Amino acid sequence: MLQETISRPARLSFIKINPTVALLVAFALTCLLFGAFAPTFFSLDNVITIAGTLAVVGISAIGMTMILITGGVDLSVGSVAALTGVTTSLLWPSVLPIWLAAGVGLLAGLLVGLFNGLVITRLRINPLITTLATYSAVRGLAFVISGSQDNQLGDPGFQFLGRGNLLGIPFSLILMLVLYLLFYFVLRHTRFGRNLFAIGGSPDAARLAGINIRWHLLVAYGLCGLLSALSGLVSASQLAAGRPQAAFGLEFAVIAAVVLGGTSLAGGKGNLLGTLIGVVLLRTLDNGLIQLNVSSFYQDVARGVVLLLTVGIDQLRLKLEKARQK
Amino acid sequence: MIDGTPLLQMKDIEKSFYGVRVLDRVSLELQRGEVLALLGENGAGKSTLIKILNGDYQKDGGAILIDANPVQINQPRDAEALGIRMIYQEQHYAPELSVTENLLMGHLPSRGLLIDWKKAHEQAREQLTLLKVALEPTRLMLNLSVVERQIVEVVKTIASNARIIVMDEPTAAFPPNEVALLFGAIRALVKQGISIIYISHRLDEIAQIADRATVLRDGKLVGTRRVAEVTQRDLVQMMVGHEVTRGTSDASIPSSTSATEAALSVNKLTRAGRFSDIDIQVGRGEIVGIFGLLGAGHEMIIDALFGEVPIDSGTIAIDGSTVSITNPREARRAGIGLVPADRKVQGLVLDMNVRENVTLSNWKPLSRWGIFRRRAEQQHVQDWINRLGIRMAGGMATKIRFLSGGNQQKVVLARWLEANVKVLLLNEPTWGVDVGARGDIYKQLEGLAAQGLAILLVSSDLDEVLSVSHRMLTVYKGRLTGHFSRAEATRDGLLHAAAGGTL
Amino acid sequence: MSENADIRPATSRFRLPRIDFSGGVGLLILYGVMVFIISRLSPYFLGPRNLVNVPVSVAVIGMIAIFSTMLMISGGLDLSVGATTALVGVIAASLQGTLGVWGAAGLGLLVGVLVGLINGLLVTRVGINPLITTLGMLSVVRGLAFVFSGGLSIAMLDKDFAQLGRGSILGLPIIVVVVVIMFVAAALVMRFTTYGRAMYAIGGNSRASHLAGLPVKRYQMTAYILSGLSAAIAGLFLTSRLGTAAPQASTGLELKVVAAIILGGTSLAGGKGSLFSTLLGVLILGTLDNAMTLLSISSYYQQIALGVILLLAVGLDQLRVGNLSRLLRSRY
Repeated sequence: MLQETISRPARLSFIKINPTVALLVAFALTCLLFGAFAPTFFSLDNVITIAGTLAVVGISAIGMTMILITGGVDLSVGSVAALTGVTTSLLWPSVLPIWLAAGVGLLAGLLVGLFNGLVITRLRINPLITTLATYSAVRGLAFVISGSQDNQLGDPGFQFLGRGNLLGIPFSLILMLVLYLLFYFVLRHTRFGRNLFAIGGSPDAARLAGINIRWHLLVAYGLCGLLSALSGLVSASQLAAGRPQAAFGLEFAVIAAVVLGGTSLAGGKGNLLGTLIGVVLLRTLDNGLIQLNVSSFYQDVARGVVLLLTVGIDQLRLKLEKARQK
Repeated sequence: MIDGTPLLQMKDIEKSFYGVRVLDRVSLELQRGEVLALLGENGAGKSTLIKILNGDYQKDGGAILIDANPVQINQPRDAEALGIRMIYQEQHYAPELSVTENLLMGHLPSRGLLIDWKKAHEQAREQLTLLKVALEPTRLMLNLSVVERQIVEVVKTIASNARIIVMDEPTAAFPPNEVALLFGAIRALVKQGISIIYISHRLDEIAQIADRATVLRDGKLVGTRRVAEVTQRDLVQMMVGHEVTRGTSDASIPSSTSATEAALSVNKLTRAGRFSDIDIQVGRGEIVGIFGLLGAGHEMIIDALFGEVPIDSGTIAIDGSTVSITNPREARRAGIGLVPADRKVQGLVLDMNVRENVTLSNWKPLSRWGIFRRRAEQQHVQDWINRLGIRMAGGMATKIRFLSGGNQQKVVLARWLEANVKVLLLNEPTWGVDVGARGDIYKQLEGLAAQGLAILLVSSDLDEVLSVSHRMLTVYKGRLTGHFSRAEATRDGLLHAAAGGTL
Repeated sequence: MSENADIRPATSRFRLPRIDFSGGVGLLILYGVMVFIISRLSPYFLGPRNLVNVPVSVAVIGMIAIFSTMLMISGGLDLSVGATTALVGVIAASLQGTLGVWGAAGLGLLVGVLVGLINGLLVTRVGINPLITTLGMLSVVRGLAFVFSGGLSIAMLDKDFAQLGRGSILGLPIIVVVVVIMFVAAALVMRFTTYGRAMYAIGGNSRASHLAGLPVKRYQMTAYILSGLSAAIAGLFLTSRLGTAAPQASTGLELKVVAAIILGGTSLAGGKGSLFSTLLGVLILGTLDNAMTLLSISSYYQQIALGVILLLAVGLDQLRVGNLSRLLRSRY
């Protein structure tokens, strides 16, 4: 009796579609479209090609998803990736053996991530501004220490990371999927992960609940830096060189994929599966355009349009729902 | 229930800020298992006293004892350790997470590294049933109603070994008269031996739930009474120090106006599922009050008149001519103004000063070709400051955030008067306004009506509607259920009609 | 409580003097120190020729920063300005043959307006977050710049057109004069007109502005359109100055603009800020740029310096009493 009058009427979903399912449908449609116009699109070769290029954006996207869930953003992922590649290429072969050099590269990324985290939590500067600053500074650093030059990374073992195959499947893809699996569990089934959602959903509630927000954010940004660094290693491996302008614009591609996948910029909401689909979708788009012999310049245009369309449709759907509820 | 040693004693508490004494030897006693109401106007010192109790502030003098043992509370952690918990009116929760996750935030049960979801939901269910709340914990917080969310807030506290819970205006955001669920939870809490300090302006709620009431005024303790032994009037008198008039009871009621003369004429206004066949006539110089319970749809009617809610059918007419209103701009152009319920969020630009807030959207007459005419602006604003008695420390350049609630409300009023509206809509006219300042607002409204303004207000405060309106309407489930003139209206009569006549 | 819980009681007459270190005294001091240090390091810095260089080099950023500031005050954000600058340059340069130089330039301006219009529509009508909207448009516009130019730079050597960016009027570079006029006009508008008041109101509380009867969406649209237009104007000046239109021109420009505005103290949240503080921000960054060139320091160091200065300035502000710091703060 009293219960019924108090509870709000069940949410009227104008379009009862799970956003992730919608995304999958969109993806399927895109593939069909490309396949119809470009016969080579569905060839095994092409699929493997696509699969091989997912990792750079894909691995960074894990970190970005975590950060967006906490309500922040990290614009420095591309610069970190470049720094890692450059650092590694400078330390090998003269100073360190390849995997140690790569380790130092990863460390560099981790340090940048921790720096971001410290500035955000201790100096209390807005994440957008903070990572905007590191985006600039770290990129500049990469150019400076490399003397604006590309440095070769010819170690065959290292090249396996980005270009090798395991049982016919690109190793980088396997690595990426393993990481997605790992972080899926972390986000869904560990306290750390759930706390990230809490922090993003309501920093006040999280604080009052006794969650150490500072520590969590520090770890989150650190992990994001580390994952970006890993992306950088994969990229450097694929390019067989450490290039200071590598991963230029990575942050955009990653944010696009994550937002496409359903993670909210406002925080408190997100899912890795969606991110994964978003990554694959965008990559497929790039590839499809190439298959259609469309100038590569259109890639950026296409990416932007797809992002705006998807987010736009989603927003309009939300608006309609809200209007109905009034 | 109430025995010898008080659970909490605050003795002769002193606190000053920058040389201004805010608390002057204030004492408070909380017995075991009781609900103590803490009353006082804004600025009386209630919030300061509570902040000292929960560790946000440090006292300058006096002592705090728990179970007759002196304790030191220097930071919030100390208060927490002593079992003191706060529930604020602003609810803090993660909307996209479930009730379980919000209740157990930070402490989800885990087996090793992974969370044990089954156990988590079980624990949540346990906590909810403890307070006799039938909520499904897997539901997302954003799907709950305001009342349900506040209950979850209350449930949160018991899990944390609370002994004293301080509730600060817990029902402020509640739809009117929907306190039953909360009070049920409070009674269950008390049965468990938890004591409650209940801060609220709503005296009728205090009468229902509190055992005793402590009243503060101007930083001093006025006294503590057993709720059963005092009247609401007595309590108000203690808070304010003098007799408070709630609107003139002998205001001359304007003779009923015929439909054609009505300043505002609403006919068969309908919005499917929300309200239907609403007929309202407000004549020039009339104050019509609408009263309704939760979900009655009455607030939506006001929103619809202002263009914030779309209508399916029906007409609105101003001074006899039909108007179409689909957004606030059109409403304003038609001569309708709205003083919204939550002025800080909906009414004022907090970063701006008094002058700018008064003239917001009233720029045309005060500017030439887009450039402000400074002197004209100042003159107009000063005029309203004088006429409405708006008080602020430092002239119209004072930032609006420094004004009291009542004066802020007057600023919003002034804005619409400057816009020369014919009809003024008010949603909860004195929400968050001092008891003492309320009478002032009522007087202003009556004065404005006397000058020809047509006023339509919505309020969840039954007494307010009764005292200020010339005519009253009740709404139940989206339909008009009662129409009373001032002479024929009674508390019971209105409540009865608002509840669909099925009380 | 429900009212003034976090503010000292209304009876308090004592108020802490509010020292606003950013967007004013603090920045001026910072700038003064900068100038001093640089003049020690390079003898040419305060020389007459160089003193003209600084305003010229900041003119392009300045043009955009003026309108970006207005947009930010109203609560918006436009990260597509750099891309628009390039696109307009490319379009004007590629169509100079067909439409004549000034016709092509006019079309370029229209393109800028169109970009602003689309940004505005997406943000106000569709409701997409401005960050995502303008990031998406950045990608689209930048891509289009490459598409239309085929990836190549296009020369624009018309003598009359070159006067825009390189000519002088009454001894002052035209480009500087234009920026100054824009600045003065914008500052006056923000301070003394209803339009400016609307920007502050909408940025401060768009809901209350809406309920007061202001056409919020319309005002927001104009802000985005002006932003796009200013990028177009800047693009034309830049192309005129350089003599070529490159599709990759002004990459990273939006970063500099945002940095300059934030450095100056305008809040990302809206409702607060001023053009004067942006002026300071632009000058500081521009002078830095200039100093680096004089001292033959690689421009990559400048990128590092940009990041460091941004963090320092904002960070220092947090550690002091300043009423703008609250809004720049992270939500944690």
